[in-house]
This record gives sequence, C-alpha cells and structure tokens, in this order.
Amino acid sequence: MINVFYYYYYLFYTKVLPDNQPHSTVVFTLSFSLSLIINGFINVIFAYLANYNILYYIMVGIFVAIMVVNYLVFYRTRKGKRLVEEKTKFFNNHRLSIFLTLLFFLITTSFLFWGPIYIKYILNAR
Amino acid sequence: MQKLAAHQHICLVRLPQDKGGAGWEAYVGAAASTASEMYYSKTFGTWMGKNFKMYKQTWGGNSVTGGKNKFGKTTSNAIKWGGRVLGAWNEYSILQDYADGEMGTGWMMAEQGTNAVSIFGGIYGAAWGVGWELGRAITTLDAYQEFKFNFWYNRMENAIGPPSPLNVRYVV
Repeated sequence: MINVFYYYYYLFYTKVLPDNQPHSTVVFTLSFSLSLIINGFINVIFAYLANYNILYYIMVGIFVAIMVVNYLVFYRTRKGKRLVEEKTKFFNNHRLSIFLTLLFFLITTSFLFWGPIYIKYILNAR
Repeated sequence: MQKLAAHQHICLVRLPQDKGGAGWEAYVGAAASTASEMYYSKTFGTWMGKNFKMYKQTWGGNSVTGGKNKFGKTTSNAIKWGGRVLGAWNEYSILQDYADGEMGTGWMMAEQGTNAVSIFGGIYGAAWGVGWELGRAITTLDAYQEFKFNFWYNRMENAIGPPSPLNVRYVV
C-alpha cells in the first residue's frame, strides 16, 4: 500500500509540482503524512487513557524516526526508483490508485485541523 | 485625554488577538526555503556558487564556484532538509500551543493550513510560506500597529465622533 502511495506522491512531485529532487521530497512528505496518522492515534489514546497531551518534541521525534526508516527503505536501497520504474498501482488501476492516494492524503492532512480540537475536547471533558 | 482613554480601551480588546504567532522556527523555515531555491533551482534554471554569484544551469561551474552539483545542489539540499524539519517542528508545536490555550481555534486553523501548503506545496508552497511570514513580520511591527490604530481611530472618530460614554459601545 505504502509503495503505491510512494509512486503517486512521486508522480505528483514530477508532473504536478516538479521538484529538483522528487525522491527525497516524497520521502519527506510521505513520512509527514504517516507521522500525522501515528501521532494522531497516540495523542488520542493518551488523552483518553491518561488525560495527557503528548509534548510536541516527542511527536517531532516520531516523525523523524519515520523519516529515517523511509529514507533507509526507499532512498538508500533505491527501492523508490524501482517502484517508479515498475509503476506500482492498486489492482493495476490508475484511477483507483489516484483516488486512494488522494483519500490517504486528505485523511492524514485533515488531522492537522480536527486533531487538536478533538484532543482538546477530550482533555477538557475529563 | 479622551484619545488616550480610547486607545487604552482598544488595546484591552486587541491584545488577546495578538497572541498566537509562530516562533523562530517559522521564520528560519521560510528563509531556508528561499536559500535552498537560490543555491539550486531547476524551476528558475539557476544555481549559486561559493562566491555567492548566480549562474545558469547550463554551466557546471569551476573551482572558484565549487561546482553546480558538488556545491550548489548539495548545499541547496542540506538547507532544504533543514527547512523541512523545521516546518514539521512548527506544525507540531502549533498543536501544543493550541492544547495549552495559547492560540485560538481560528488562528490555529490558519497556521496549520499555511504550514500544510508550505510542506506539501513544493516551490509554490515555499513561496506561500515566505509571504505568510513576511506578512506576520510586518503586522507585528509597532509602526504597523500604530498605523492601524490611527487609521481605525480616525475612521471611527469621523463616523461617530470622539470617544464619550455615549458611544463607548462602538469601541468594543
């Protein structure tokens, strides 16, 4: 699944918003999207169970850890370049892949807006 | 005397809205985006050497410039990554500020939106971020705040007259 997202993020940064170094940009943006989901879950769980808001440098640490892992997996091993050559897709369907990548992007990015409000609501309600 | 009293009244209303600006990370991130594009840009077809001079992408450089790829591209990437990490740092620090009650919901949404554009928007996002931070830098200047106060004060005075117990509700 992540492989397809990688390929479609790559297409975005080569065809829609061309970048000098699309692979490194994809590693960064994909890691950031993933970190939003993971940090969001951890934040909500801690708010519910411990009435605690995670410190932001821990969230940044999680993001950096994800980025290092993605760098090692996709960049250092050249897996990212292979994925681009293979044109990885969901069920070999271009439109479905675009739709699911867009959905993934919107869901993860939306956390930036509703996440803080929801977490504050949990913390205030307890 | 009346003018001073009105000024104090307006300040009391205005101060809470002044809270919620981003920290140094946002400014450094915006500066990094600009510097990165200056050192190496396929979009503009330019790169900058060790001697701080700009060259076209068609020339590879020499020992004086440090080389297009060896110096320009490497420096650009290093700065770009620094700016990116700072952008993410700023994004998460806003979550903390909001949770701590140091920032209102509307301002948090605006900051998160502009950070999302900066992070995902490539060169255009970087430009957006730079513009946003320049706007913030201007609006936090005392001179700008004084100009804004005088502008609205004169407008209100022309519309409803000098401050008095009869029209004080307009100030709020």
